Amino acid sequence: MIFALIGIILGVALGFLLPITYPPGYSLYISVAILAALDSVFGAFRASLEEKFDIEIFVSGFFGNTILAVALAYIGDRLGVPLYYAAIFAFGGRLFQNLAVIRRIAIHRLRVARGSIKASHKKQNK
Amino acid sequence: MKNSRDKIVVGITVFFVSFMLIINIRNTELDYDFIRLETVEAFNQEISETKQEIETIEDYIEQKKFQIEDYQKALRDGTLEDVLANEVVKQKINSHLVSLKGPGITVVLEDSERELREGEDPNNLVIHDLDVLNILNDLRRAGAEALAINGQRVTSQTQIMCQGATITVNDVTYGQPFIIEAIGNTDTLNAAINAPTAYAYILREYYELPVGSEISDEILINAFDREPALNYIEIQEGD
Repeated sequence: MIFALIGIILGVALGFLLPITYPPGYSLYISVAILAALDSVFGAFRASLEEKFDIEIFVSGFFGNTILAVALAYIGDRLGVPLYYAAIFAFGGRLFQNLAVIRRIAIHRLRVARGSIKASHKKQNK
Repeated sequence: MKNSRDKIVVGITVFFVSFMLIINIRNTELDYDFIRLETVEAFNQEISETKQEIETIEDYIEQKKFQIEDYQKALRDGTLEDVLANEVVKQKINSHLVSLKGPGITVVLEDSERELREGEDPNNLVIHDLDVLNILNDLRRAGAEALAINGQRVTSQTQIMCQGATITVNDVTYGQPFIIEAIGNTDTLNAAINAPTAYAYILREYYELPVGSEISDEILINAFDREPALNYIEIQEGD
């Protein structure tokens, strides 16, 4: 958790400090890539809450999803079909799904901590 | 997350995501323009050119300050007359009204005597006023300080006119050969005639016109021997 926080802080700080620009034509690819990466990160958060986090799956998913999303957007651009919608719907939908699971786990843990229900293991999915 | 290696990897990926996110937001929201390297280069060049311009202007100001100081000093010392006499000499040189001498180059231009090739334009074998003008310009670019054509001083009012086989300079008509004399740095003047990009070189090598040039340590250039016709110009007020 601490490393993740450090990563976020460093990333935001460097993002604001470094004068990096790119051609407006690439904006779509980068947006789709960010969406895919965000999905992976949320997925990792969910997996770690469920205690089945696997670093290999996380890293391969992180890069694989990002590259696939960008490739899809690129191919779509070439073909004239907005294929990046596929990435947006898939990753966007999964983002909400992941968030929902995280929410349920968090609320469950809060209730356990308050003592209103007994700690029961892994019954809280969905 | 089991071990610290996993945590570090997650930290790095999260770092990338947040970094890209912020870059993307800045690029789309804050009106950041993507600038190509060529544009940066062009702007840099413009800046350096402007800086150079400023430098030359500052040099000029400095020079003028020295001049003012000289005048004031002369006023105090009572040698103002000498300073003014110097000034008169300088103005005389500028006004082409004195004869000058110095190191320089002599260029001799003649029409070619070779046979005309089949279908060739006869004009290729003749020296024209344009040829003389281009060579004059080459010499000026090479820093010629005084110029003369067949002994006629080239002033700001000199016309060069082609009239058949002759050339009229300062209203005086000359036949061949046309002799251009220039005072200045002999190295650069020589290059202005004999370097492969020089107009005279092209005349000699491609049109096979006999273009001769000779460097000498002392070239005499006559004064412009008539009053310049100044009917229309007036001195601007306040200058």
